[in-house]
Amino acid sequence: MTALTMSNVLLWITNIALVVTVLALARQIGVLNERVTPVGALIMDHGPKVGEAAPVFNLPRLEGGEIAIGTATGRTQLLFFLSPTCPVCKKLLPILRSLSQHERTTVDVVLASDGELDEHSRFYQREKLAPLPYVLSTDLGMAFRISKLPYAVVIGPAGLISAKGLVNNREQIESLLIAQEMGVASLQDYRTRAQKR
Amino acid sequence: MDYAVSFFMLGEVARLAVAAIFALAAFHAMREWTVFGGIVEQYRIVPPWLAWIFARMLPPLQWVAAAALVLPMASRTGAVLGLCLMTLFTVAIIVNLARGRVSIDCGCGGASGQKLSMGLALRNLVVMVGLIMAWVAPPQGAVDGVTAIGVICGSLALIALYFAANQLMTNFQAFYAVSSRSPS
Repeated sequence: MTALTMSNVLLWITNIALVVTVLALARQIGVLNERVTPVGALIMDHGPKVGEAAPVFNLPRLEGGEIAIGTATGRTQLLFFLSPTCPVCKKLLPILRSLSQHERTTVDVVLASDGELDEHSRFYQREKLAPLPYVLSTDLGMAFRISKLPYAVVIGPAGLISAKGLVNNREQIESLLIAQEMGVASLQDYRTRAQKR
Repeated sequence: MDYAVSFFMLGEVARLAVAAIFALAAFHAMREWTVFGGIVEQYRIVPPWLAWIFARMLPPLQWVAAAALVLPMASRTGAVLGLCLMTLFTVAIIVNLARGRVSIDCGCGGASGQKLSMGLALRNLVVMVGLIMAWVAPPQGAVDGVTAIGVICGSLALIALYFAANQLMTNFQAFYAVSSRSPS
């Protein structure tokens, strides 16, 4: 092996090591950035607060009939705000379907959105969302100050908001129900309390 | 310096690196079909029903392009297919940038969290230059040891550089979002 070949090999090793180091550093910055955002479902600091009474609505269901939202029904209501054009919302739909099945004795899942009735009817059919109730109401979104999707609000059996937040995966949806069971506003709240102790 | 050899090496490095990039992008897209379908729909280039067909077709086509690029006898076909795909992606990005729809996920390998930007279009142009190199300088049979080391290491370095550039662009967008949220 000539000195030139040897130096070539050494230079490649250093080159790849350096590029991989840059990639690792960039990834670490990305991970740090993700960790800056709170754990569990992200609570947006506006809209009615956890512990307050939920705004009460009586809304027509897309599939017919009416549904009461925010009233003290003795059951937990999981309001899921979505849009037909939101890819992550679509990812969560099967999770919500299975959740409504598994928790059918205690939790009612309600899908909420706003916009054109035709577009949502097609979406409801296409995604096979029956029998989940689906409501269209701009006022409902305004009342909860929904600015980002997908967003979930858990309303307790007494009609009080027990947890809410931006949700991107199954764990974050479950975090809202767990937060309700534990009697904390959110997993962020739980972590803050635990750190204080 | 033998210019023919160095030119051939550039083509080899480019085709292997782009093949790996295509394969990884297709792998990530296929891991989350539903989200990827939603992202293609979000581009609003084709009607929603066609977007779902596109979403089902694009990752397999990327696999085909990757496989063809790796095979010496099919590398030029792979380069042409890759160029068609990259042109499609880049046009879709530029059209949405022109519409001002910058907040949609680019779908660069499933839901990557990377939003549309001019940097993304430029990155695609660099990949397209690589594909043109792969077409202009196709494989020329057996190579000596030093050339082989150069080709393999060069491709590995380019792949890592591509993902580092992607990550840095995502970081930049996240920092920009955080700093614009922070109170001044």
